[in-house]
Amino acid sequence: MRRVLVAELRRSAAPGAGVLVLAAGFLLGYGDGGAGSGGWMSLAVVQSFGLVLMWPVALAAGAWQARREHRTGVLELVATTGRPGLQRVLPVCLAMGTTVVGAYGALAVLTALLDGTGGYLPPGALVILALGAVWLAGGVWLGLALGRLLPSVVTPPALAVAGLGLLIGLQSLPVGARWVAMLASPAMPLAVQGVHDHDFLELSGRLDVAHGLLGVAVAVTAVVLLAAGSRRARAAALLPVLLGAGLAVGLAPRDGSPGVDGVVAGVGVDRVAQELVCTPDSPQVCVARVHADLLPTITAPARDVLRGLARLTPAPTRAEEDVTPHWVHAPGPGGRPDTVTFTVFSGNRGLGPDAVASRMAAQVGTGAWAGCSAPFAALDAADAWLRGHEPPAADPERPDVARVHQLWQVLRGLPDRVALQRVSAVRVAALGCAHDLDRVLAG
Amino acid sequence: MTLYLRSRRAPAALAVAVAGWAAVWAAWPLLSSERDVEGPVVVLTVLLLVCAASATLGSPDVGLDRTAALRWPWRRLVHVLVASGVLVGLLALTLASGARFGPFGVVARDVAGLVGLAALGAAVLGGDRAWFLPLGWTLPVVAGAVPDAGRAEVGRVLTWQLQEGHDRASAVTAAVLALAGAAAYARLGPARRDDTGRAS
Amino acid sequence: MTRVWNRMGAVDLAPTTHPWTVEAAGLRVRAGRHLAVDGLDLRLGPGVHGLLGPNGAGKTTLMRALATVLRPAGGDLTLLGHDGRRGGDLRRVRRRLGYLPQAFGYYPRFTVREFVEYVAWLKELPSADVPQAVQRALDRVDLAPRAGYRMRTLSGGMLRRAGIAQAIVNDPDLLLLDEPTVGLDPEQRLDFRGLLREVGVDACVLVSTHLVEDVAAACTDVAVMEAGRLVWQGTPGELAAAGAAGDPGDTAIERGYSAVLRAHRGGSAR
Repeated sequence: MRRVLVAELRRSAAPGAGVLVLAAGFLLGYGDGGAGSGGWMSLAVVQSFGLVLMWPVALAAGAWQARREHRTGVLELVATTGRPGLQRVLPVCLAMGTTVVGAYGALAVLTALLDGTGGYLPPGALVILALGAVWLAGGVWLGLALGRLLPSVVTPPALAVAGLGLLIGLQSLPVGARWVAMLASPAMPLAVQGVHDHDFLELSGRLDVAHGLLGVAVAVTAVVLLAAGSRRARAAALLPVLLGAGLAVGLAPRDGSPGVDGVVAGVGVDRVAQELVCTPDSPQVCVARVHADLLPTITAPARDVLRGLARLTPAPTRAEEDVTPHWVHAPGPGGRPDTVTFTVFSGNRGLGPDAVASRMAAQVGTGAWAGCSAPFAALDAADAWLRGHEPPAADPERPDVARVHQLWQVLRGLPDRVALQRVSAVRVAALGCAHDLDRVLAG
Repeated sequence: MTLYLRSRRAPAALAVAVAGWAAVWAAWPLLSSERDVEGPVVVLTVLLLVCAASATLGSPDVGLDRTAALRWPWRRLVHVLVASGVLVGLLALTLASGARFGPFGVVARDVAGLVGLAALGAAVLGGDRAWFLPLGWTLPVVAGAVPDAGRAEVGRVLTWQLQEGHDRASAVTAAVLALAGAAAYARLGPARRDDTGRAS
Repeated sequence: MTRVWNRMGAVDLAPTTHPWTVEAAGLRVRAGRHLAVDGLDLRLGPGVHGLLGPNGAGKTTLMRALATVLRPAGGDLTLLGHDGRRGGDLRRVRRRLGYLPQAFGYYPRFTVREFVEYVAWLKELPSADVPQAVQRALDRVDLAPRAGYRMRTLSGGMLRRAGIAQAIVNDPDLLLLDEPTVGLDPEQRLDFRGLLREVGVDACVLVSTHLVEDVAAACTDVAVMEAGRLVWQGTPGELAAAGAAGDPGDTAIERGYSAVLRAHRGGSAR
């Protein structure tokens, strides 16, 4: 069989299918730019987005290849030979499956190399990539099976359009039915809406198993359908997919995870990614494990910020990343006066270390804190005083610029020691979620 | 006339087109409460119909056709026009129903442009592969491969199928494709692709 | 005699277990809805058998039934000692079968060698024997120099020879050739006759053709079919002797063929 497999790899639609799948994934992944620069989880998720185009293309490629037997009239000859159905279709299945999954893998590798993906590798990312490969192979085999049943010229494009339509339809399901999309869509992570930064994303084990089970069931059904000779055998092909679907639906998580609002079932927070990795010396700068490779670049600017705030009492002595994911709406921890928090969006869409530092330092070191922050005029005035420059005269985003100026004048009028006390008090009050910061500043 | 239609596998293509159109038209009210079918779904339906129709652009024996004494260019042109008309008519029928594929301008533009692409595909790649071109352009566009589809001129040309009816760039693009495709197909006919494995 | 190649390529001659390679009694086969073979009795042993008959006589349908493409609608059929109607044993029959259909379908992108290897694999030839068997088949039809060319680059005659190569790659005990000499030039037809005689020593070869001279030159036995039945069976010499000077035809055997058909038609009209 090895010779036949090599012949199929070279002479069938397999090479073309691989090229097309690679192109499709590339088109979709690079539309956003830098898919892999955000870490491995981001790479896996964006690669799954590419399946929206890769899966329909795989369907069409399979159907196109399946036309060969019909188009060339080889069926007469093949009917006189003895190989049973499953062995007969094995070379074509292996050839098409290998090139398509190989293209998928090559895309992932290429993305990782070009974008320099490195650092924390969550097993969840590998699982997502593997599940995508299973569904893609199932797609090609499904195309082969359906193309054999309906060998018309119209079948490949019809399958491609239907496939894309199905994926788009699953995407548009209402929130209550979203778990169906999570289960049945080849591009499963696409159904997770509202998450723009995938660093702390973790999909539940049950979801992975259910999704994988369904994918395997579809693949097995496709191969059985392809190998089936008689009508009874074709009907038997329904068994694996029904069985798999039943099991998968039973396993699939349907309730949202506690504390994760508005996000679909099966989505959780990666605790390991959230663990803090800190500099050994002080002042300590800590980032989440998933951003650990950014620690060297962020340490120096963060320490500059800390130095700038050293006059305050109590002076913050460490900088820590806020590891609550942006899509979790649970109330975060209260701000501690001895810590300046910052957020890191990694990847090409992320901010450079200087921008992170400037956000960190804004509003007396509370600018990047995601707790109950509000653009309080008092914080801006205090910040302007601390840095020793006048607040801007006009700002289109801040209607209360006059108030800021007023408060700043108040601070300017006070002796330095008192003003410093007031500024520190404002900071502590803001971190404690107080609302009357103007009063605190005015004394 | 009927022989011509049968030689082009028109009945089968028409059956598939109607079946696809009916399926989407019937399914739409189940999936959405809006009367107007959403843009991407309209584009996909048009694409499906055009691909089904493109199956009629090929010919069972290209060499034999070429030796005929008929005036092929006119025939082919009429073929393309009639096919476009049938598709537009089919979709226009829905405007009176509970699932409207519209607006009419968008549908007409998309049918014209995609049929033009299919005709171009038939002229260059042969009747069997004519659907490569319309599918290859439209599928990535609908899947979202071109972000910022609405703003820059280039973006609007690339995603012409999805634009609004009044958009000039997309209308021009569709018109160019329609004319170029029809002209190429009328002049050149379906390409000769000898990949049947049959020996006589 | 059944020829069996063992692993080292030597030939084992094992005694046959069945007297006739093909045995049909009252065979009925449908082609679509029409009963193309209607009550055919036929017995074929080793040797080269020609199958003649007018168009529509059911020759191709008979070939397809013997090749196990079609299942008989009625009657008895025994191929290589196995029942030709039950599904289970057909696999063993098919391993020893070679078939060249009239409309020979192939994969145009495959090279000649790849295609013949593919058919050899389909016929469940042991994979260690495949390269040798393929090379031998290509040599026998004189296509070895073209083995690396794609099928779609072959001319009509070469394509036919490739078809013959795939039919003989597994050294079949039953070789069925439907119009094998179409497209072959006269010199190639002579080579083909030699090949037929060589294969026909141990195997049963059934050649359906309109070219009566091929039948006369290469066949040891001729069967004439009409309207789904066997009308005459005998040696080419007997067929030639059946004709008289007044019968239509340019050669003796053509005259004999016309005479046999006329006698059958005249007999059935009575």
